[in-house]
Amino acid sequence: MDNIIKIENLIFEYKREEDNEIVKAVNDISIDIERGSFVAIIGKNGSGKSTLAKNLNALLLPSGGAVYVNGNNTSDETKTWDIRQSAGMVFQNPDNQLVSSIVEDDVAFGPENLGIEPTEIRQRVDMSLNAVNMYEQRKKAPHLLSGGQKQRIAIAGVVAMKPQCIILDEPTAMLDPHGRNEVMEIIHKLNSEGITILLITHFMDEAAQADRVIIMENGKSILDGTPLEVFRHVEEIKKIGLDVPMAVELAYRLRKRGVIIPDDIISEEDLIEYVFNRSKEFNSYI
Amino acid sequence: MIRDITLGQYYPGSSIIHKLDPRTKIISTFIFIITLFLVKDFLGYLIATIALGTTIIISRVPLKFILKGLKPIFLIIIFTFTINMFMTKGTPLISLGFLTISKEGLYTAVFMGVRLVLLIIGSSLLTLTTKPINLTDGIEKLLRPLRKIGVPAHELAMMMTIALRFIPTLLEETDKIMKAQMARGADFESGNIIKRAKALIPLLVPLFISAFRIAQDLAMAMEARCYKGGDDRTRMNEMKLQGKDVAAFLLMIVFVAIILLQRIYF
Amino acid sequence: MYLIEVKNLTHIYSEGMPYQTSALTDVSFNVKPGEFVGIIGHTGSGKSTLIQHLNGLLKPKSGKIIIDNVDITSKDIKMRDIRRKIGLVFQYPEYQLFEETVHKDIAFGPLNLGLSQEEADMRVKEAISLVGLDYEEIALRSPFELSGGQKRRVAIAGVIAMKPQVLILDEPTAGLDPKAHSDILKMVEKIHKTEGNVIILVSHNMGDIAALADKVLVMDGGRLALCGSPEDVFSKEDLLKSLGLALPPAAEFISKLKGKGINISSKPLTVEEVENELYNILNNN
Repeated sequence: MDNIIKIENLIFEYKREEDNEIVKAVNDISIDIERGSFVAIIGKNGSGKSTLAKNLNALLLPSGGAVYVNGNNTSDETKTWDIRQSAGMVFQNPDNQLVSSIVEDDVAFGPENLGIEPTEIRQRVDMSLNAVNMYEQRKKAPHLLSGGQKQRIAIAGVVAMKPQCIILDEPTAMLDPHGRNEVMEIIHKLNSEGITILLITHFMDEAAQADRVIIMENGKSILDGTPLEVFRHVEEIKKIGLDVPMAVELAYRLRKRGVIIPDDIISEEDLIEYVFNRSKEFNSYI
Repeated sequence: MIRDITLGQYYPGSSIIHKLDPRTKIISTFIFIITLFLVKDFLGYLIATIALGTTIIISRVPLKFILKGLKPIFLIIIFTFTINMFMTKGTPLISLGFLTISKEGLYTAVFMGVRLVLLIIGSSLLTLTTKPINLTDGIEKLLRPLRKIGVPAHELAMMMTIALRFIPTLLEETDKIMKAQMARGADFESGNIIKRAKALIPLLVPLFISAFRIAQDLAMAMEARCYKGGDDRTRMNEMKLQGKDVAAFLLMIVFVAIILLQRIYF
Repeated sequence: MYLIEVKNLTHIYSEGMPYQTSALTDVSFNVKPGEFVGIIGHTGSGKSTLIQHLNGLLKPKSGKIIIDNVDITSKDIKMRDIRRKIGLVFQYPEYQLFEETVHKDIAFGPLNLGLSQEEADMRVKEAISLVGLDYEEIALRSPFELSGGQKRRVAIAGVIAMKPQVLILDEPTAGLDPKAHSDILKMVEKIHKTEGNVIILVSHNMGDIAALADKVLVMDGGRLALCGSPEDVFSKEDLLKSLGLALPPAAEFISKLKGKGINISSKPLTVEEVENELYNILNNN
């Protein structure tokens, strides 16, 4: 199996300001991320998921253990720029990550930093803006765009660096439902084109769209598997203050009332299909 | 409303003046301003006015729009005019008590007034026809040779770029915080100066905190996008001087020559 | 008897506001005392313009807003009297905190209303407990060293302490994780019950609106497109979708089931109701 990211016993400590206590924001996590996969990381605020993300492209460096991106150790300073180029990052606040007052100049910022030839930058910028469906807005000022559009520009800025992996740290948290859909659509599209996606979110319906879900709590990964495997643990997930997708919730409640619902129901479509088939059976009885 | 404030005073257009390289425009503006100080009489100003007027017509920026930009500095013009008028000694024209307007005074006042107006219109034409972001790029390119003597050309330009990007964001933030505090009964409008200054605390503290948060987020985002200062950095839009820029420089030379000749021979 | 009467409210943004297109056109509705009102509409539909009018931050071009028999749009009304009646909590209210201590920050509003220090102190205590925080533990701490969720509660307490008859909350759960989200909503319900005030909740989360509101206003392009009980409003699926709005997840689910030809007569809006519906379907042998 080809892993783009290898996390080995990662520990990240920092000193808490209030009491000067050393806190382990990430506490001994080992995860491998397969190339081309779509992984969602969920967890409450303060569970360590953002800290983990920033460790994946050398914005933070491990206090213990190691992180490898494309085989490069993030602690190796000579590789920092290679790592940041291959594992791009999109942040939560759409306003605070755009540098230029013109959309296309902003998208060019990353490639310019990499020292790429002007003609190639132009090609990459156009390609990236098309990839996020924002080519028409290329001359606009970011502050005139909607939150979803700004976030798509931020994604284009990363895409223009030709990364193999994009880490998105709660990219939809500050968006309205429309903006959220726009961003999720782009994420799926990029993933289908072979870019590895690491999506940090606290929307369960977004997590359910991934190939793999990791749930974090207190700096540890407590559940890790396909959405089907992870969302089976309804009680555990609820205990730490997270939700499950609605279909899972319904199936869970109905099972508690003695209704037989198969184990493999995750999406609403699954549940609807099941209810439909069962009701057909009843009707044929009558 | 705070968002009404228009920033910079770029007037969008596609005239040849708009399309000139920002460096051409910056240097030309400087030459124009220096030349104004070489003018010794009103004939010289007439030449300068014709040159400037022609440029304005070519730029297709409405004169009204340009004059509107003069409004904020109108007071300064009046002030200079008055000072010159009363403070220059010479043949008295009119006496108002202890104040005397001399013939020379009136002449100097008008002379200086015209110079100031031409100077301001000339330099505002630069900002009117050049996008702030291009102006920034132009300044960076022009300052680059000075890096050897320690002028941080790239850093200055990056600071200006970021300022341009975030001024609207911060204005919006100011508007939001102001409204939120007003909803909690804050009063920014009444009372004496001390009371008003104190009333600004609930606005300024959150605003500073926001600015720091933005700075922190932005620094992180820039690092994540491989920003490592100006060295080895390329630009998507490499500025190249074109035929029209050469033509513009030639015209500037002709203009300076005419002014100089007029000064010497007429 | 109505507590709020909004009559033909129209607002046009002054020219030279190039970036803002939404205004209000002929908006009229009433709110009874103690009602819980939800406002929905996509971004730019006029929701925030509307709530800023209710708080007197914006003045209408024409139309009236009468709250508790006082016309707050009239020229000689004092802002202070409006603030006494209506509290407005903006999106991300934690960004407006500014004082050295939580106590002082929450007291800012009450003191601006002209209350004495003693009265304000009382109000602060009350408000802190209403938002579910511990006065002793938190009052003298700096608001800036609290967690995100706590900061938001403190900011909301700053408005509650003004004891408004109408409390408007604009997206109070934006950006919070699921636990903090449901905690804030529980808090809002608690405030509604204890204070008996009118709550106006602006939200993109249809599930929350369906679960909490007695009355739903749907804004679109500066107009009031729909107004009614959640059952009424969310039964108009096609209209809502044409306005770019979703149904509550529960209603969406039922709608899809119906689309499969399954006969469902009730109109469930919450997960509990769907659960019961499914229970009946799957158990009817």
